[in-house]
Amino acid sequence: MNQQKPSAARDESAENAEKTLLSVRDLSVTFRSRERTARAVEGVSFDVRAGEVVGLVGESGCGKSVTSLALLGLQEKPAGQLQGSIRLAGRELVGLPESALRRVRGNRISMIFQDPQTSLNPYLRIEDQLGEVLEHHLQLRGSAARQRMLEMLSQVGIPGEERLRAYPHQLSGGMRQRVCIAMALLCDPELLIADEPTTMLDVTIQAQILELLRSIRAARQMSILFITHDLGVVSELCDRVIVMYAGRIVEQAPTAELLHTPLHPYTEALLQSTPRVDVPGGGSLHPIGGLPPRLTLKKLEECAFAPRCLRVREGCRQGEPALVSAGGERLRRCIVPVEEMAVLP
Amino acid sequence: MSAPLLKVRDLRVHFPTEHTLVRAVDGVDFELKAGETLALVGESGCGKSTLARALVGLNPITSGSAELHGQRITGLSRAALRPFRRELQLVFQDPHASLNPRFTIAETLAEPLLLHGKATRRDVDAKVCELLGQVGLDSELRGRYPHEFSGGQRQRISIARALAVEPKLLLCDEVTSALDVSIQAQILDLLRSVQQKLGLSYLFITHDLGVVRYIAHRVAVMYVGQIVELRDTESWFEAPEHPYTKALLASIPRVSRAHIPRKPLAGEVPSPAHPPSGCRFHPRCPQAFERCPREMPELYPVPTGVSRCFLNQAERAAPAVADSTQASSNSASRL
Repeated sequence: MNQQKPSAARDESAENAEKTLLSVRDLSVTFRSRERTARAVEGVSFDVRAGEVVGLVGESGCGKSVTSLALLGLQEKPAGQLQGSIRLAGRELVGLPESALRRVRGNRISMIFQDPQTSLNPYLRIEDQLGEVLEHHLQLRGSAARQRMLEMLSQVGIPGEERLRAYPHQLSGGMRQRVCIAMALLCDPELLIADEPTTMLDVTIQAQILELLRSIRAARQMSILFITHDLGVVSELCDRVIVMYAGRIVEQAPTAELLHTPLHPYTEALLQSTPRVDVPGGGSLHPIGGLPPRLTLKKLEECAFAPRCLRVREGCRQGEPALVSAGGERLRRCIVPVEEMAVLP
Repeated sequence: MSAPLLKVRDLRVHFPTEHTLVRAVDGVDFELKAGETLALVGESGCGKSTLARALVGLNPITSGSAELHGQRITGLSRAALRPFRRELQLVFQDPHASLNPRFTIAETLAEPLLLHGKATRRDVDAKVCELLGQVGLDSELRGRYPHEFSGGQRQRISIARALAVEPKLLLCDEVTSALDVSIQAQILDLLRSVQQKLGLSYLFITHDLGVVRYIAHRVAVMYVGQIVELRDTESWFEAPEHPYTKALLASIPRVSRAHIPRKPLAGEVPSPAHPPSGCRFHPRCPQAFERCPREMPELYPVPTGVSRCFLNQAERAAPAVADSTQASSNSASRL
């Protein structure tokens, strides 16, 4: 099952529904430099099911991008060291030699980034960028490769052969992101990692790209790990959300539940500090005071969010709380009773 | 009632290039009252930043005028402009780029104070501390350099520097766009409280409509160099009039609604070097009809403001017209 037929729609969607595609266990990423050692990601565990869209949410420095890069073995080396387990359809990726990883990247897991300008080679025509992927992973060349490129470009809403001859700078930002998506989909991956793919785009273009990702996901039953800081985007696209803070998962829940009844004070604070377009006056804003902690190897002596938390209490200072079940599909890393979360702090 | 603080009339900023003329700002009119916040929104390249930069003299104005307290500030020499410069301060998106890395915070703030005679050598330090207090920073930190501060703190410093010369109007260009939401909320609250205390006006440029609803009294939406709708904030959010601003509002992801299937606006913003004929939105407009490519609509009155769409003109005369054109104009979407 390692070999995919290009463009063959996966039809086993029904049985896929409950199948775990990606399984991350106790993932930690440590960066060492001469001056200091930082633990950017600490003990992160989560699953992505086949055909599921999972949002990875948090503010700058929370470890969401480091986590996503680590999944591809792309953490900065040699400074970045990785521990834990990453399994794709049961196969361990951590510790695989580079040559084996290269067969996974761009083939079974592919990635799109925030800035399509920097992820495309400015010196290559679109056909050459796409051709490289096809040749490397599928040994496709010539007219067969061309056929495949045209098919994929039209699927992402770029019809017409003349675009194949274009250089990246001749395309708009939205078009470039479409090209990146086309490139990511060429090998029919099982998992697409999307790291803030709409953050640099205007809202009307963002809406187009989100719509595109939705339709691709529906057509291919592909899993998407969607990294973003924007909870609005999460609610549009994701089935489930993982919230990260200071390198840790602090809450995990189905999207609607998380947005309506956040069970971690950080998620709650994040929602309350976002000005709302759909509430008169933009809603009332409650900024989160202070800054996230510095991440070191030292074990935390309190909850990482405690210094900024409005619901902080004595118990929060006695060691870091564990990530525990909060009923159903929900997990939280907080000792405040769930009933109390319903009342504003 | 009160005379406007800033009055902009038919302002144009055109950039000639080798082959063509880029009409970045193409006939903009608006007024801004004392103590008021006007948000200037639109997508990249709509001309909102060019407009702000032109108002402080950083971009050449091609034609049109701007008046501050009824005195013309456009077409002045650099020397004649200087006293007005003080009243109009620009705050940028990236405080890292706009603060001198080799100046301590005290030096950064002292410079405008001394230059504009707001302090003497003797009392400048006290003034610096006062300014830092105003933006919620500990004055003990004034001996430090910009890199020792977080992004949110640096933005506070930029605001303090703008406030140093006691301006009447702050032009805020995406001041919170580079910040995380929790920090953004702090800066927005700071700007609000400063406005209440000092009676400042803000021209607030942003692409984030949530921020607009939170901070602005009125909103001007720009599209390819022109204002297409200018309204009171709440009435615009509740009932946008122009087809473009409707589409803009509809395309924002919201926390309160999940997966509502909808058709995004097709196509992309045209280049201001080659604006479409007639109404500049007509190639993407789901409600466009024969008149739209031929004639440029004016700004027609709508509740609490104006809108640049023939439908708003037509609605007044014969409300039925709008519905029939809507039904007949569903051109094929590109997606």
